[in-house]
Amino acid sequence: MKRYHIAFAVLALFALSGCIQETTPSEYVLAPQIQKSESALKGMVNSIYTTMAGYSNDDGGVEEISYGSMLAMLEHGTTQLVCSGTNGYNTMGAYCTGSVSATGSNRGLYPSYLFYAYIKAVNDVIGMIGTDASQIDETKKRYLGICYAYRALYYMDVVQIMEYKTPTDKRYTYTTPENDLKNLGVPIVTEKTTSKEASNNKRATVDEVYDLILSDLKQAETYLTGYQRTDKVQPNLAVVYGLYARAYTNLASRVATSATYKDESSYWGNAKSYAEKAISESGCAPLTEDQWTDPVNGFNNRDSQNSWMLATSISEGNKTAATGGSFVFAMTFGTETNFSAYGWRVGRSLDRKWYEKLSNDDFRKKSWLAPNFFYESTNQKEGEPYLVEKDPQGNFINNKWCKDGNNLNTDQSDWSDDYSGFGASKYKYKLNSSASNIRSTINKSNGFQSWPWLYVNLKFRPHNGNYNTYEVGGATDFPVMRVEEMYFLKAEATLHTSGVADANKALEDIVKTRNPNYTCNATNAANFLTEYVFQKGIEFWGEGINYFDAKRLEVGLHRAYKGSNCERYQHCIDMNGVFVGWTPGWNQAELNSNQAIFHYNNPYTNPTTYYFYKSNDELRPYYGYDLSTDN
Amino acid sequence: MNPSPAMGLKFICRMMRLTIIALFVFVGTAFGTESYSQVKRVTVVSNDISLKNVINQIEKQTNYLFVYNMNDINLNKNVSINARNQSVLQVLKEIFNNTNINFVLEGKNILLVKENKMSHKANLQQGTTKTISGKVVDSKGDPIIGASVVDKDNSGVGVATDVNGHFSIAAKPGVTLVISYIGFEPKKVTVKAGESFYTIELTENVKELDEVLVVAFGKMKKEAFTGSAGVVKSDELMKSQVTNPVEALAGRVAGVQLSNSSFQLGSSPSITIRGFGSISSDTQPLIVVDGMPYDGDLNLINPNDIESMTVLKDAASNALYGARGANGVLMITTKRGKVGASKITFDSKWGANSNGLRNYKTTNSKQFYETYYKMLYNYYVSSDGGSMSASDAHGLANKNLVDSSTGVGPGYMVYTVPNGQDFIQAGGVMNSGATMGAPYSYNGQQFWLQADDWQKEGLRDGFRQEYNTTISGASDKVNYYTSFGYLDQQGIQVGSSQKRLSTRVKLDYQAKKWLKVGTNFNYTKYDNSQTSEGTVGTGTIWSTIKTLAPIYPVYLRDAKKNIMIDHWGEKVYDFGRNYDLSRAGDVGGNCIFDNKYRTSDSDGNSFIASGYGDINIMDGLVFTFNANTYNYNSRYTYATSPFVDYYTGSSDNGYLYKSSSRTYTYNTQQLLNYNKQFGKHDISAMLGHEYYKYKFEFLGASGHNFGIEGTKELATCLNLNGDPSSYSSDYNNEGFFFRGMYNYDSKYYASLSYRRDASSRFAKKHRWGDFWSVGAAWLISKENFFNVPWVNSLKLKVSVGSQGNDNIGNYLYADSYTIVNNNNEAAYQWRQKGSENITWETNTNWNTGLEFELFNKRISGSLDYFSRKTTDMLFSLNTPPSIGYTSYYINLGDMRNSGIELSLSASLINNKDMHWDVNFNITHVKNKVLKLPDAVKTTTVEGHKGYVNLDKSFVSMYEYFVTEGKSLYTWYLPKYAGVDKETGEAMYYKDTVDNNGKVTGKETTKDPSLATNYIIGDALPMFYGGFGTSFGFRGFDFSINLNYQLGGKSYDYTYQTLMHTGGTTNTTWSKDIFKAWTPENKNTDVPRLRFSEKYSQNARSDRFLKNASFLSVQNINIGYTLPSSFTRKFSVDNMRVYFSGENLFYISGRQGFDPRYSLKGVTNPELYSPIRTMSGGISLTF
Repeated sequence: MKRYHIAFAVLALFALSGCIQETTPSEYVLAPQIQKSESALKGMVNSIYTTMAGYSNDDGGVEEISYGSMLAMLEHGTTQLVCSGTNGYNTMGAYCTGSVSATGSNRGLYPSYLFYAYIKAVNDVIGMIGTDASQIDETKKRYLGICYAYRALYYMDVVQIMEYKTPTDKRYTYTTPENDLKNLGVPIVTEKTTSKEASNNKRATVDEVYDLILSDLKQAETYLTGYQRTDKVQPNLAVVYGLYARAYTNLASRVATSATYKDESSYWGNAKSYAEKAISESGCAPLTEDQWTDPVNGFNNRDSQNSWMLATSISEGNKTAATGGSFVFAMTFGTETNFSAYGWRVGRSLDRKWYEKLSNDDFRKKSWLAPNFFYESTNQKEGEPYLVEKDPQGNFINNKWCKDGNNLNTDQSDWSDDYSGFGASKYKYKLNSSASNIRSTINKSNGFQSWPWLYVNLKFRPHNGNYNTYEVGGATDFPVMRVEEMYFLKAEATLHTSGVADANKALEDIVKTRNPNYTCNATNAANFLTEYVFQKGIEFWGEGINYFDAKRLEVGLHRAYKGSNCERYQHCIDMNGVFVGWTPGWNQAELNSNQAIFHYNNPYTNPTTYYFYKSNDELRPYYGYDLSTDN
Repeated sequence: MNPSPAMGLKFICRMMRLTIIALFVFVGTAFGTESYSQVKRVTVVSNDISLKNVINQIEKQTNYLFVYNMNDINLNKNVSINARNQSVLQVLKEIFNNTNINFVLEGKNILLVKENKMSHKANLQQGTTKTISGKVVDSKGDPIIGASVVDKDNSGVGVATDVNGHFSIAAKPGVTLVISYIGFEPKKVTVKAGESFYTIELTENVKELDEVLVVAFGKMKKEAFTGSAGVVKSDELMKSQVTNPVEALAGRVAGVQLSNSSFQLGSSPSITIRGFGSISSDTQPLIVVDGMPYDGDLNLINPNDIESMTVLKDAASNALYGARGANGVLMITTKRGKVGASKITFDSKWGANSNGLRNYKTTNSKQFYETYYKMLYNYYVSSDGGSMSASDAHGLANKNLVDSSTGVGPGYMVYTVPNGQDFIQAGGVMNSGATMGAPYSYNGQQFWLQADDWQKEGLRDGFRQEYNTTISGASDKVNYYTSFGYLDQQGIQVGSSQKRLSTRVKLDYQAKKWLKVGTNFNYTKYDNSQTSEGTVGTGTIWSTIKTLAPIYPVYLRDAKKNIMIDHWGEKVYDFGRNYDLSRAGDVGGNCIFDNKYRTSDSDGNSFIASGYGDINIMDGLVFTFNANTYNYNSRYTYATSPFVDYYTGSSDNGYLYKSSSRTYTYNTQQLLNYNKQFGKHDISAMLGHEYYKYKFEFLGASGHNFGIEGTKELATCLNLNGDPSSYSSDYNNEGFFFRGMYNYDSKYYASLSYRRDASSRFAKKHRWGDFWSVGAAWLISKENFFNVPWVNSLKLKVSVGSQGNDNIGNYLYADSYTIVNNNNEAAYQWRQKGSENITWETNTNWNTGLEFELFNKRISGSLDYFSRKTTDMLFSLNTPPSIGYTSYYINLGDMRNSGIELSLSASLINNKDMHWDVNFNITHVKNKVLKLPDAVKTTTVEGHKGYVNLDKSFVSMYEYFVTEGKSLYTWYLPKYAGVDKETGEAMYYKDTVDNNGKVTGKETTKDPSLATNYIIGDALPMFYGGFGTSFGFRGFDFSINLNYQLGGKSYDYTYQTLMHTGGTTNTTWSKDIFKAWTPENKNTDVPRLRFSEKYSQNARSDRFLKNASFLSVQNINIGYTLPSSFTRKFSVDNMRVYFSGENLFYISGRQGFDPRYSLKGVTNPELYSPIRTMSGGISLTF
């Protein structure tokens, strides 16, 4: 081989190397990739809905969570939502006891992450569309309307969650804030906010946040007028009215704190008229009993009824949201679902007192399993009071439904599918599975301390009624706004505009659709509101609205009584007025990176200082205890 | 190198040239290959040609080098030659026929010696001279061929030994003969009257063999090396009984720190060289195996195949790796054959793995109940607890302690107390009549509860066996090395094991005189089973054995105290939630059960195929083409048995997750090397190009509901879950580079390198970076003026340069979105903020140092000062989550790691029967953040502006305050102010601030959430290093290696857990809880022990920071080599039996606390314990 041949070969080998090859990701897409796509804007708008269906943030330790689960989590701090079962692994437990400070809880930080992720999704679309009117076609106008409506919803939610309200129950001592937090809301971030501004972005006053909410609603109203939506995940004009109704109700309820929103009566007037406009504009009607108790579509399908005005939806193809982590709504609230230990070990139940207070004629009562579903004495006589038999050790005996008398059997075959029925009509719950399945599954984890006084819910059903396969059953829809709420808001506004009598009637209007025999005979505002909170609490149990009402109306937390179906004494909180656990702290990352709020964090009070009972002994022996005899 | 002066100057010159040529050859061939062609054929045709020219021709056409004494050998004589394709031997015979020159072939050297017939005769005539003969052998008794035997006083008189090591020379009694040979210490022998046969044993000059260093794209003479490097050789590696070769670096190379985030079999330690050079980017060094960057699993490299591991630490060494060299480079070089007869080795060892953890001193079951009682009692007598009388409080405390239903006590009562008596007696001492174990009945069923030892039940001693065989050798054209290794070891937990089968074939072949080719092929198959570890709070066996109260049973027992057996014949485990039994805090589950019914197996194989070709284009110019591909396939199986359903809340009827991944890399290098000397100047240059491609592919899916017991494939799952996914990721890197080296008279060395590099991790515009280095070395000891007899060599070196670091995630230069299904339409859901402008992080390294050999080379060592400044630091800038994302990357900020390294080794005794060596190294590194972007200076602490580096793990336990002038890992914690002497509550310091937020002073608070975080101290150690000694006597050998760390503060999270008080608990206590505050014991800093506290009494604070110093006995090795006179009878050249112990013992600031998991001072009780390995073995060489 000649030398120049070799030299040539060498040169050739050098020449073989081209320039560095371009690579693109395959797990996700980059902005430059989607900017080339025509459907980019649409995809960004769609992300508003998917973010609400499922969001996680590894940096913040936020596990995959949906909007529905977030609201339900907050509701764990209300009287009527009780955790029965065994709470050792209750992922929402921090909200039951109010252990939701930023630094002490990995759950308390969820709202301050989540809502701002939602806000970013809409801000991005608003920013992407821009302000050049000539470029804004019909489609873009609708997109803007959707974004402004959602932004109003998000800010309204998060400002209510994060606003610090001083606890009022004088029996306890609380940690005081470092600085005065009165009327302080949340930092405002819009499409114009730079990350530099965000790092020195003080808590705007609640009034300023409402300035933004009202202005966003106005924009939404403009852009959505005439809009025919294709999916209930998209807000329409009726939803905007509904949000107005919420906003004015909130403003009316906080004139004492507000510096600028002082005109209470006009707000109540607006609340009422917007509620009415929302009802008429939406064309929606309250759920019927069939829709309510439908085992396949009950509270999981935005299209199976005409009550929902706005919804979130986990698409069947969105496996991450349907299955990701322990906050999947259907998993947490699904009594029949066997996707997860969390589904059954922790029962999401109605407070027993509330259950007993609720009329048997009210079809909504069919949302919670009656005690005799799990336990009925073989000696029970028809028509006689509910009979509880215990052995000297306190164990329930003579259970008609378990074949060998062992209440702890975990085999389905050991349990009966019979059931005496509920109420005078001997109503049989509509189940996707069977009584024996529920009865045996309950024992699977061997931990139902509060058995059988569960009152667990059947309200929220797995998608398609599929309680076995979680990527199907977990793909549920969730109601963000139902027309029933408008009736309630109207009733509340009526109280403040036309007085108790009209309010009674307005409340009856809606509750009679649930219980035709219902009457409301409140004689003053206070007992009207008690009834209002009760009926609304029943209506929206598990939907999160009750959390906002509880904090707004300062109804306290009352779960400490003998015979409660709370599983553990730490949950049996009794606090009047404002419960300290309603206001989580800011997440540490926000405190560290946004210096303007560093000294304005919501304080945290250790729950041990307000535990009502000292041990489970003050609670558990009283399961099944006749409530009329004491308390 | 200090050859005897008597050898003559030309010899030195030739030697010098030899090494330089060797260097050139090495540089030119990434794996440096030699060929010793005994029958090498050459063609020299000329009618009139000088001997010198003939020699030059032979040198050019072959790899032979001629070694001779210029004063003796006259090569100016012209000869006529017509040799066409003749063997070298023939040519030599022809040209030296009828001359006074004798030649001896030795390897690639041809030694020319003058025949001293005349003087020989003259001496004989004088009658005093006689012929003496002898044999020169090495320490094993093997003959040395071609050794020179020279009369010390008459350098003209000399001969070389023949193929049997024999020589004969004329010498008078009293004459001193100097016997020398390359690679051996010269030896002097005085001729005695009456003695005519001498057996002379030369000892190997180890230093001589150390001369060559593996460096970027080649090898280099150590003397010429201007940078800083540390080497671990195979003999050291063989002593330490590691599975992962990198483990052997622990304490052995200055500047290198290892930390094990887990000791699980199959895990790899993190390697940190000269401090953390980055905040956001990876700080692992680049691994280069046989010249090729390696992104594979280090566990797949058999340590037995490794010839040396070289850690390159400074710019001069690493600049050629441009983009990837900033964190240092670890060069792993595998073994190759040695010239001579084939060598076969066989090594096998058997041993045991055991738990190397020293657990915390915690309460036993009696003390646990007593402490719990005190906690309750103290509360009930307090005003918050109802101000009960002593007897009421005593009664209630006993009741709540014993009664499992109250939710106040630990939930289990495992003692039987005599009827009617208190369990804990007034005063807080357990009833002496109480006996371990108690009956328990539930719903008519009778049980027996007794405490189990979770460590004993959950851990085991694992068997370890390892076998290695190698066959290697080399001839004139071929060099080969083949190996086969098999390892099978069990971990210390059931279900953790590792099997590895590895083979390697390495071959070099001189195909043409201008072409040499070689291949290196490695196949490894492995099968790892790993057990659960996790983040804090996972409840694995690892945290259980550290923190679970010593009262809980592992198993359920029947009334007869036998462990219950279920109807599948399996033991019934106690989950803390059956039968109304509940461990306090309701954390149910049983980690031993979970582990038993869970499998996590990965198996796979990797191929590495490399090839090269060296093309000798013209004199001094060599082109090398290297290519390498790595293909690593792995399959992962995770399964939980259907059995789990019967005992837990799950209803999967078996869960199975499968995944398959493939890592594929290829690398090509084109190198052009040129070398030229003129006079005392020596120049070499290299021009190169490298392309590297990395691709990772993944596919995974899961299912449940097993169709048949033991399902391990989705095909036999009745239901598939809807989460199959696949993805791939790519990374490309390309560089053009140049290196130039120069030396003058082998005294002054200079080097220069430059690389232009591109990385796919950056946007197009910011993709290319320039990296460079310059270095110089001065061999002071070679100067004429230098005349310090006890200094054998002294080198001063200095280098500076820059390298890049692109070790961040892919595609951080653009905003990214995940694609999510929204009603079957695409939704682009926000994923991460990108920053287009991010680019290289640049490290500028200064290194200056001394290398020395003293006292006849008895002591050698090096001292280096380094300063490594990172600029344009890739910085994950935390943003407030309110902006909708939590961080993005920018290039801002500077940081420096500077320090000193000292390595010393000494040979205290070295004679025929005994040797004793000691070694020691120490490194001091100081990390300092120099400049931070203003945007991140969001927090001011004690006058320092900076930001809080929040640990992003689940627990958010660890926070550092990053500020200019301080270490990157500066603790940011509340300061513990001791206990309130009056109440016993824990107190913390808190700044008082005025209305403008200005700090006005300091006060104490009991509310830890109000405590101010302060700058507490550096988590990084001040000093670290290792030391060891080896000792040999006759056939016995002993060695020990230790490593240590001094200074630094670690957060002892487990200890914090163990110092709890206030709540219902299933956690045991550290015995330090006995020092808790009481009204009688006010002088303590342990807060009071009381139930139901408003504020946490063991909140996160500097109270739980612990000095991170440790001393660890890494390895002990004891062996005996049987006398070869004995073993040769069985055709065994060498036979050694040995015992080896790895990771035997460590001492830390607190028993139980192990700072070796992380250099950053964080601890996590959920990680696999360190493993202690002890083995015995035998190695044979044929």
